[in-house]
Amino acid sequence: MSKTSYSSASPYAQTRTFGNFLDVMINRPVSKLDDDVLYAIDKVYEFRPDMLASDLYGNSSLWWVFVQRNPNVLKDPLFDFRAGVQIYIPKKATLQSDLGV
Amino acid sequence: MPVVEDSKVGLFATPVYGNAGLGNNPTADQIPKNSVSGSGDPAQARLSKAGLSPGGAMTTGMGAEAPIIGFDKSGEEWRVRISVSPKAQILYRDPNPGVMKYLKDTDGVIFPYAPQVTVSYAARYGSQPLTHTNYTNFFYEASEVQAIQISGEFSVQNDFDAQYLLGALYFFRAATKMFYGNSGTYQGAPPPLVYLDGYGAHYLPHVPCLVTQFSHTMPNDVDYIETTVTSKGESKTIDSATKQPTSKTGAGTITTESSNVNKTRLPTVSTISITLQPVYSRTKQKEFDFGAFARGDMITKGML
Repeated sequence: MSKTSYSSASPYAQTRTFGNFLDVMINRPVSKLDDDVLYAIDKVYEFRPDMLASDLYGNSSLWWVFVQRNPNVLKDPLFDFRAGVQIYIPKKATLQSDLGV
Repeated sequence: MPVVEDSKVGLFATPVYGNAGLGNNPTADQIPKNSVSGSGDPAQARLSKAGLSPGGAMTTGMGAEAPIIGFDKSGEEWRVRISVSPKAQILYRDPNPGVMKYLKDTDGVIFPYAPQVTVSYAARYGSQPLTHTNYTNFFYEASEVQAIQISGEFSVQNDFDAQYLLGALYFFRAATKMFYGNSGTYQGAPPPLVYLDGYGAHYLPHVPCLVTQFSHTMPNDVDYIETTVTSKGESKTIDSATKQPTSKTGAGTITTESSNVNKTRLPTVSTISITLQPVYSRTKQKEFDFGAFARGDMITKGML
């Protein structure tokens, strides 16, 4: 049985694995900077954090970083990602330093 | 199937995707050819529509206090500008310009988007139909540069833009008025002379003009943005002993000055139309040289 591994862009990258089984998840927080852009989600990105991550960072696997940056606004990473909801956008440089992506 | 609509925002037509919910990702062939990206890149088009830039960096379209009217620091401003003489102490060059304070930065009113400009030149001939002739005879009377028509859009996206537009409106309102009533130094003078520049010296070479007509169209189908304007209020002088208003000044009196704070709403998009009549003094007219004018050597005189 091959050992499962997650890339640095995955929310599970820091979580230990036992074979195909995950240990208790280790959170990967994203730094909150004062100059992060406040953005009202457009209709085109509604329920599509993966598409926004792809457009912004060139990596759709980073869909979960918006929840990490806006934990009080986005409880559900997908279905709270509604048009009109205001979220802060973490910068790519922040993700590079915090997550190593 | 997503619906693709065109929406005019500023100078560019940007794509807007309707009904683009879960699983409705527009494909490259659904992006209009005139999209902002210009390259058919759907990701770039989506980010432009959302006012975002790749990497999540701040852009000027994020509602930040970034003016639509940029200031060209290089001195090579080519946009259409209407200004007053550098030596004038009136309008935005007044020591207390009030609502026109932001016009100082651009030395007059700059049209942020290319306006429609019409310049007409005319040579007038009188005709004399002589008896028993086949052709009419024409006799030259005079030439003239007719009134210049300018019509341009102003957009307001933030407080700065609103104050700039308000300053422009007051500039043109005042430029159609004479120094009447209690107007101080220039009491009795006619409306001020303005100068028209734009598109380089060979097209509008600092032409001296009179503002003969001004109109501002406020559409009923756009949003209006609120801005706060502080203006100088009334000045009162009271006698310090009796505490009663007095017309005296100097020792024994106290002068107080109030300020008015008003909120004004301005349309996000509106159109300003003005008519300018080029005028030249008799002295300047005497300097006219046909050959030099035809060669384009008289641009320093502002002659059209």
